[in-house]
Amino acid sequence: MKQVLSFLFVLYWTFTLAQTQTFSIRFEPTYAAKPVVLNNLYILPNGNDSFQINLLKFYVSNIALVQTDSIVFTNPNFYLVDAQNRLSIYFDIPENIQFNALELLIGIDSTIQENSPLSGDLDPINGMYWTWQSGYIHYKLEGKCSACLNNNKQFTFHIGGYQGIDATQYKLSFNLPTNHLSAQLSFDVFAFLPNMDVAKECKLMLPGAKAKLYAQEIKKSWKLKK
Amino acid sequence: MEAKKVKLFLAMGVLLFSFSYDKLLGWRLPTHFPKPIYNFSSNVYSEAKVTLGRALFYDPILSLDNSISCASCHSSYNAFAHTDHALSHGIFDSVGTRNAPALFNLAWQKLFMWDGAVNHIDVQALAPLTHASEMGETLQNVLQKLGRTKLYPNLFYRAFGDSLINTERMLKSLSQFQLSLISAQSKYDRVKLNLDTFTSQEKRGYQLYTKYCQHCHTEPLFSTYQFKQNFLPLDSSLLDYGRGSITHNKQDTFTFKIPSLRNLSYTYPYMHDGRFLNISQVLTHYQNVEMLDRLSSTKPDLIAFLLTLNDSSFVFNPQFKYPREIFMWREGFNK
Repeated sequence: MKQVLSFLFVLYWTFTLAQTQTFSIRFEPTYAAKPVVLNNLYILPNGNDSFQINLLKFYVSNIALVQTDSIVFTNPNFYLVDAQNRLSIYFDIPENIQFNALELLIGIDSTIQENSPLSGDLDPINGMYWTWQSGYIHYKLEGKCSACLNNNKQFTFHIGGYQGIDATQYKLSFNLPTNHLSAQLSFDVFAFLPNMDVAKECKLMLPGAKAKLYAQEIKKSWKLKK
Repeated sequence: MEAKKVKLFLAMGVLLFSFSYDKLLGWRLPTHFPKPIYNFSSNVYSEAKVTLGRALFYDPILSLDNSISCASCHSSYNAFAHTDHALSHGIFDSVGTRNAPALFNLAWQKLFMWDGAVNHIDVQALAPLTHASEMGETLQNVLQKLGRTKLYPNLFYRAFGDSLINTERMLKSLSQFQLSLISAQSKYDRVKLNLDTFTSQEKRGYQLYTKYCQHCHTEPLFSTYQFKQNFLPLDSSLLDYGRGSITHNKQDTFTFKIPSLRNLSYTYPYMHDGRFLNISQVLTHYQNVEMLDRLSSTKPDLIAFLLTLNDSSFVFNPQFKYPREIFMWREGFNK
């Protein structure tokens, strides 16, 4: 009897799993409302200085599909988005669900920060982990800028910190057309530029008030492209 | 006849004591200890992983110039602290800013380092591994170096069923060895298990401990492993603000992780910067900041009790010392 039941269960499971469709999210990093291309030269708002972005990586997690305030699908995976080679992510969702909104977290929440599997996209070898003070870097932006006063004219913005007043991970929600299977999300990589003195602040590599401010500015810049 | 009875009683005691562990997913939990914080279901305990972790712990291959191992600053004979060294040492004769803490009973601790900067034992090793004044390595390079040896693919194979060497496996094996470092067989523990009795001086010391120390250094681990102000003046060369630098909360400034009082005889010097050479100096400090009375009997009585927390069977446990047998095997293979 038990065997028959487990056979039926497996059968049911296989069938429900088989009936899936693919949802995709495309991320579009922008600067001055135009898509960013790595290593291209851009001009700062002051009109004098130029910069280029050599590296842009950030984490996306806690992805959920929502039907008028109730979650109908959650994706347990973590995605390290990389402007170099991974600006789109794909995942399977069941065919039989209705949804009209998408939720996601930019960064990694505290539960995972404190119990990380340390593998896959969360492997510290990916260069997105602070070893001296535990925690994933949520958002990493590096490049060169003529305004930077250091020797090699480099800027390094590592935005992280996950607990208490230093938390810089943030949740985004977008309304989607009903059952629409893709979303293209754009954001301003340098949204925090008006809040800083580029020449003096080319480096940020620790949690704190500044990281929080920068994260909040980027958060405000996210848009769903229609 | 009397002597025989005593011997029999002692033998039964030893037998009873050696069984006073509960099994928890293969890991040994002392019966008089609370439930551990570490989640063993995410890193199932096995002898093969402990062996791998022990080899890694004692192997200087983890440092940039292959000169410094974890054991360089955490010696088994010092309850895995660094006796005689106020501050930790690293590659190229560099010196750190903190005293290397003793390592034992780590499964009951949530946060690591004197300021709690590390949030899980599984990621703790990354801090010394990559710190320029400690081992100065990168994770990529260490994994590559391990992969090029004859020894480690074999040890990873034995521990995980295949020879793949990766971050998770390396870190979780290091955790397993360190989680196996349980100190629960001091005289105090024997008294708690009714296998021994305190002397009258130790009893008086226990009463003083209960009155003045137990709030922070709570039984049976002898620490709450929380963060507290130790009222030491700031060392102007180190400028160490403790946990406040991590949390950015004002009330955490100058707070440090409360160390356990177990195995104090093996772990001098004391405090986060190793500024006190002996227990008497530590107690004088607490008398000066009025956290301990100034009666002439206080220090000797309290020290008599603290000495009952020394666990020589832990410190001299052959399972925890340099794994000569593993490295001899490597030398034979690498020739």
